[in-house]
Amino acid sequence: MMSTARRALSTNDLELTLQAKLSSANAVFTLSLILTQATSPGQVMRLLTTAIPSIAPGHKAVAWHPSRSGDYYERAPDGIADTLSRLTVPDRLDMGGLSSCCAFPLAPPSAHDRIFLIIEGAEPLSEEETFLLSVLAQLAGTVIVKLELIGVERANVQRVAALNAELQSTVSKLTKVMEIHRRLNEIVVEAGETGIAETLHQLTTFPVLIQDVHGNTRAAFGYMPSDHPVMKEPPEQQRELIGRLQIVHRAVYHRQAWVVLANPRADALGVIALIDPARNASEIDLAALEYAATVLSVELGRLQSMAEAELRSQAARERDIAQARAAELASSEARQRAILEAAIDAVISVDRHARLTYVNSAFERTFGYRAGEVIGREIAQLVVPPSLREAHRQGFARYLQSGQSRILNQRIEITAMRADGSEFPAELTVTRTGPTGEPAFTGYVRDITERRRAQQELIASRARLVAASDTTRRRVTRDLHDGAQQRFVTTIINLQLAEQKWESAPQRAKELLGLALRDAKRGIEDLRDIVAGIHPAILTQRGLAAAIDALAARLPIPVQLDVPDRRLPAPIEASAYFFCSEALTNVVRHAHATFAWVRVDVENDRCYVEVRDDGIGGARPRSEASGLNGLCDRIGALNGTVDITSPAAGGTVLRASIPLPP
Amino acid sequence: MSPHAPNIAELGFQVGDHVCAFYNGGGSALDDIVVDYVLKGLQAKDKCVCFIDRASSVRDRIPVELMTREDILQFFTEDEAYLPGGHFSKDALLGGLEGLAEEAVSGGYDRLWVLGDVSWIVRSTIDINTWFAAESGVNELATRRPQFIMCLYDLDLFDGEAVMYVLQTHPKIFVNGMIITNPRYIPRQQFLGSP
Repeated sequence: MMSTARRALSTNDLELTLQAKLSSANAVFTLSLILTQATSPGQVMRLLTTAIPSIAPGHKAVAWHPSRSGDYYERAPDGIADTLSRLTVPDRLDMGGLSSCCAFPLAPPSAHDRIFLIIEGAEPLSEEETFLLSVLAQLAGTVIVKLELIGVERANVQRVAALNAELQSTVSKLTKVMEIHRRLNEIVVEAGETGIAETLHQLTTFPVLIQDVHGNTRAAFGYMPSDHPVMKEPPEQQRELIGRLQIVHRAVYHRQAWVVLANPRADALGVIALIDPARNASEIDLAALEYAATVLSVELGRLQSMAEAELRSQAARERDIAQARAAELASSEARQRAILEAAIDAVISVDRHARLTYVNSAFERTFGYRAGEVIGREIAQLVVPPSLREAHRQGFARYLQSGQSRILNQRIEITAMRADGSEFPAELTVTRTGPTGEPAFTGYVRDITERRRAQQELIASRARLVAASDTTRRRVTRDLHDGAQQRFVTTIINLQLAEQKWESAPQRAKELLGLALRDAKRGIEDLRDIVAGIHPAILTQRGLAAAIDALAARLPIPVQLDVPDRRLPAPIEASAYFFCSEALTNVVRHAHATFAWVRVDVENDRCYVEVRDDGIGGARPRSEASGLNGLCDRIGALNGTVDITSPAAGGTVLRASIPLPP
Repeated sequence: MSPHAPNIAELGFQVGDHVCAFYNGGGSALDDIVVDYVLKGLQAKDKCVCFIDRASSVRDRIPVELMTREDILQFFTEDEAYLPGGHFSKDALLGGLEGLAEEAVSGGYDRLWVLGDVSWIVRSTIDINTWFAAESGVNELATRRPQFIMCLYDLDLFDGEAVMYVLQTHPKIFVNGMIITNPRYIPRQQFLGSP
């Protein structure tokens, strides 16, 4: 149609030609408008190339790229690629055939991609067609560039929108997670495990179960069927689940529940489960579960630390108590040891083999051993006389075998042996001190040598008292027989003779009466003397001072008296009187003294009696039944003591100290 | 065209216009343009008739308060509108459009707004020349009644050659939100006589 423009034109033809050109121009611009509504470069190029035959009849169009193919263009043939790449304006292409081919750049030379609209037809394009198609190609190229930019922008917008959505989602998740963290952190401080279970239930709406590693429920919240499989986990499966959770470190779906391990440090302390049979838990729900496990771990760790601290504190307390008890025991043992060391009695401890394990200081003093040389040695060899050792060993063995003992827990008297082999009487008490399976014994030994001697002395004293009494009785008998009895016999004889002579010889009878009277008086004096030797009446009637004064008056040597005129208890006065009587008798009989002194003092609840002479001294008891021993016995009977000082040629001093009764 | 027929200033429509419009890809893009067109008609309380297969998605976007009369908005599928009896007939199409216009007027409506999507052509075996001959025939019909007629073409379905036919058969183009006079339009007699 447009080729007719080359022919000579008439007016009508010119009008038609102009209409045709105008129509072609309208078609290009209208199509350009439509192309602006296209949504993709491919759509633009498809509409463009398929519209070309309507715009340039007899021609067809394609889109080429010099070096590659794309969504809406093809790779140009090799022979024209270089030509195309250099082409900046519409130009003809030599395709080597009969057809005419023209290339129209779709974009300016500076554009990134060089796409060309290739129009081929049997006839070459006219100048007007070339212009219109150049405009159309440029418009199409502009639309394509715009669409590509829009595409890039849209992709950017979509990417930004996607990023924004992702960011919003992340922020939303973080916000929810922060809320989860905040609530769980708050609740664990206030309500512990139960609070964690309740809060997790509120956050997720799922029932929550907290168990220890053995499957025991520690806390639960939300409706949970009692026969739910998680609540009836057999021990073996529970252990397998714990092992699995320790490996994965995240929520695991197990028997209709999401389960996470609460494991502070390396210890697994429990599990927390979100009961979700329909498996509807969201990512946020699982995040809440896992954080709840973290919080639970902290809580369980805190409880464990508290328990450990309590145990440590308890252990420390027990250690302190043990130390205090040990110290107390040590102190007690020290006290006990000090007591034992201070004891007068010897203390001996032996083990079940009768070997010494302890001796005190008194043992060392009593037996003459050093403790260091006896510990660990058999007791029988050390302190038991040889003649008694075998019996001792048999008795010890019998007790260990049968529990029967003749000496345990009794106070008995034995014969013990010192280190030097000497034997001595001892009082022994043995007690068992060791536990049931490990018997030990402690013995308390008291040397009773002095007590024995005192006992023997007492017995002797009693014997002497009896002997003295017998002597006194014999003396009284003898004195009565030899003295007063003879006097009264003579008196009776003289009286009988006087009676016979009363009639016949009155003078003789008178003389005989005189003799009888003399003898009767002497008899009475003898009786008085005898009685005075037993218990003078003056002592009873007038006291010690008068009695001693009367006593001294009968002595052949002068006696100086210093005796207070006060009454004392009768036994004291009697003992003091006889002490003075015996001492003065000895002075007269043995001391060859010319003067004697008697002094009695009462002070400090004691009565002191002293008899001193200026005689020859050297006095000492001459026999068990001597007068001095008798004095000592008499004073000793009142718990008093007698002291004799009698140096040769130095006189004699006898001192008696008699306690006054309270 | 009625001398009293008002212009729809905001769209640039004039009573008796036969307008083509292009969209891309159907779906919501088609819905958007249909809804916009129908809303204008309903707001003017005119009767609206649509030949589209996506009636429900359009109806759902129409405010209830604009449905002032039960028959103010009617939908026909493309087959119902263009292929009554299972085949296309230009006379049937034109007669149907004539009947709709008369019915609207007789029903008390001032104007009739007709919209038709012609994507059905791609699915049918109709000769494209037959169709555009019918399109060209609509131009006479449109001017005889107080009505607007808009034909919708999917640029994803039609190529450039078809677009050039569309431009030759529609006096006005709805493009980029504007109604413009189509310089490529060829009157019916000339179009039918053109090669």
